[in-house]
Amino acid sequence: MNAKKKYSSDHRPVAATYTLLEEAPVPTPTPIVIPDRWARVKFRGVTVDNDLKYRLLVMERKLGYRLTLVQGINPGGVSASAGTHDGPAVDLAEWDWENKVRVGREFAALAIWHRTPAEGPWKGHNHAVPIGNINLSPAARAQVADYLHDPPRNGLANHAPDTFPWHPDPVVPFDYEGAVRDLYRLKRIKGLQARIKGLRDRISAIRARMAYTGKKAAS
Amino acid sequence: MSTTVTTCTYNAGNAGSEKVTADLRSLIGLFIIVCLQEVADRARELAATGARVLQLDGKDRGHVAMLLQNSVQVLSWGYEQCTRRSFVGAWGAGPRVIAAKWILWALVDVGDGATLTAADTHMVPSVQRKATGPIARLGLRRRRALYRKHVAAIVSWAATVSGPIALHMDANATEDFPLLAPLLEAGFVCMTAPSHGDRAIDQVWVRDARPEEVRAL
Repeated sequence: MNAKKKYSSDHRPVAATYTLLEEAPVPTPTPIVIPDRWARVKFRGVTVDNDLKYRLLVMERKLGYRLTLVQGINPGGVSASAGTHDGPAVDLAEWDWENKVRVGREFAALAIWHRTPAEGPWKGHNHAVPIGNINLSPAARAQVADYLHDPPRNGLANHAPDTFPWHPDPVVPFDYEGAVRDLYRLKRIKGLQARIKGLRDRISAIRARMAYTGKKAAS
Repeated sequence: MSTTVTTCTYNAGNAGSEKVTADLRSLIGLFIIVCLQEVADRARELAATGARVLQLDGKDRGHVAMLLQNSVQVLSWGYEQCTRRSFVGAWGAGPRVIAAKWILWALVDVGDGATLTAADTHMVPSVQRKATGPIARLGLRRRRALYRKHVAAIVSWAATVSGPIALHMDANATEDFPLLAPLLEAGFVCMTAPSHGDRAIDQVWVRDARPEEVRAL
């Protein structure tokens, strides 16, 4: 401490050198892989293609519950289906059929009807054919034509008028890539929500250590 | 790209005007930012450096000030009040009534697009001394309560700041003082060297920055 005093104060200046750290990098979003739209996949226990799978996922998000699928692509399977299930088409459980039909028509571009036991040799269910799918069976194509007919028909052999009152006009095409990206976005939102929760927990932990807490919020 | 910065903290003390002006001129020639304490009545000396001065008077804010080289771009700056003017009694260094404590802060562009929040504050003195006798103990208790409050306010303020912070202060205590622990918990690292005799009480606390070197001049 015998160094010659250079500054007038009883304190000496203190100089600090430090390297600024870059801000924590924002995680790069994982590149989105768009799966082959027409590839066959197992979904909820039945075979569908990706196009139909993502339409059904959109429906699930809108409805707020998982769909029960009764029949998917089923070449030569059920005679009562008259070949409509030789390509992409799906039968859904009957429960909550009004909402399913409305949501399927409005958001998933499905030609979807409620089938009652009175209409044929089947239990009640909802039959859906994806409009715009390039791999539809001829019978399913005919059903789509019925659906788009003016006035809309029921897609059965009798081509009777569709009694369900709600038909979007025009039919909004299904945005397949948009639906796939939405799933990634949902995952990202969930991840961010988990991080926010973590940060809230950290704030609470720091608050708990404070010697003098602030005003309590008015209850 | 990482940016390395050297800044300085200095308690200007109570020497004559010419000496203090010379000190300040010398320091601002060496460092891009010089954070000063005990400069409430040094407006003339600060102005004489020709550097940019950040200082407001009134409400005890002028006790701390910041000098910046003119090449440094100040993006924003301001004061954050930590404590009110408080009576602590005759025991210990400084007046019976301690001036309100503030953080003087400035968000500056240090080049290459990197920004730094430089901050300056001056802590309550005589908090690490031993107190004998009831009056001394009462004084010490009052000072420590004020000190604790000041540190808590710094932590609260820092939580609102994103990016690197360099908090320059005359801590009036060594870095191992338990009342400074909340700063460590808030992610700050202390950089200090013996600056007041052999006590290292003038400190630069950095957050989101890697300490490289520290020295007393």
